[in-house]
Amino acid sequence: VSGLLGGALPSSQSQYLPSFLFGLVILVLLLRPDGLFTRGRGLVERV
Amino acid sequence: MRASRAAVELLAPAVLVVATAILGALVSQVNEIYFITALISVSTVVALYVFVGNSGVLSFGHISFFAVGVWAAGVLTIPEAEKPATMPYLFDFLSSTTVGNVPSLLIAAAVGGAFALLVGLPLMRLSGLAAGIATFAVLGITNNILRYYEKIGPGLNTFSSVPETTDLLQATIGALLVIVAGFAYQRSRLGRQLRATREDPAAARAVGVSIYRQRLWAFGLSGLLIGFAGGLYIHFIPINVDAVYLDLTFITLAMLVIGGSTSLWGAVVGALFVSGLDSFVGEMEDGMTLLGQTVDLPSGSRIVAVSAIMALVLIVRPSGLTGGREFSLPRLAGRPGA
Repeated sequence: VSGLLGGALPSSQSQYLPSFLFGLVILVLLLRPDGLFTRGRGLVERV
Repeated sequence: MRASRAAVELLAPAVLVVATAILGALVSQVNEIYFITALISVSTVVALYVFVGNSGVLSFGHISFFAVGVWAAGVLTIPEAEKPATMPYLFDFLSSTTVGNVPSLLIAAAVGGAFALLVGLPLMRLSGLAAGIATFAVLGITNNILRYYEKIGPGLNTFSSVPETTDLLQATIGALLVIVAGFAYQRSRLGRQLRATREDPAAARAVGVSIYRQRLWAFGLSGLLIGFAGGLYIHFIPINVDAVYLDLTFITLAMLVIGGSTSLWGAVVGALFVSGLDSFVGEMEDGMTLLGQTVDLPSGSRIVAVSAIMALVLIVRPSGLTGGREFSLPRLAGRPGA
């Protein structure tokens, strides 16, 4: 994902790659808090 | 009796802070900086305690609110004439605005609080490890943006020409204000509800407490207080973006854990204890004469010492030096329900 994002970002914005990666991490945690590849209902609780 | 117990719980950390300030006023000006640093650390750790201590949710992201407080107070107090030289790419409204010391601290607090509320809106739905990782991601994003986005600050450069207005008195007043705010919050209905969610989320939910809402309020207040601490810090010492990242995150959390993360008293004791230790070992790194012997520790010993103490405290007293309890006088403590 890092490589894909790095390639997709314009070179003038490449210094912000970590921000996009961390943003993606947050998105994954919000949508699937127990991880991308966990089946069914996981252990992580949302409030 | 309940009122006197509450008074003791507030007065004990306040007295400790004032005693530190008096001690700082008695030492040489060279050593005074250690005491000011310790007092700013008290503000920072108490602000962190407001969320982490009361909610039981670990946050690695609070230093990002501290950082935006640093940026807000720093950028807005540099004299207008000097901004084009040190920060040539600033937004026009930032470039043409300069405010005084107290307004800059209020703005730093407001910016920190607003940022925390904004971040908390989605993130406060998470718990446990997911919440910790997500707040760490916020720290990473904030650091990355502050590092490279030069329209809002000096980027990689160190802040220069910021008026150094945080002296011993202002650091003391700042720490006392944050302690009073933290105490008022933990005694309030909101604070009690949040602590109920920490102790037993299911029971709290069953009596109608919204875990999400309580965590969000605490996160916002905590961001506001830590933004204020950031404002104090930039008016004390010129720093750059590296000073508000992982090292500060680690040491601030270590202070809270070592003191006892579930009490205000623990936050204050931890901040002062670790600051003292950090300063002492830092002096040894620079070469210090102790009992007639010159002690010269290698660079990096500070972080090793703090880590070792943290590991030791976690093994011997997992709930911190204070046991995670508020300060109480023996006579008051001996009368449960009084």
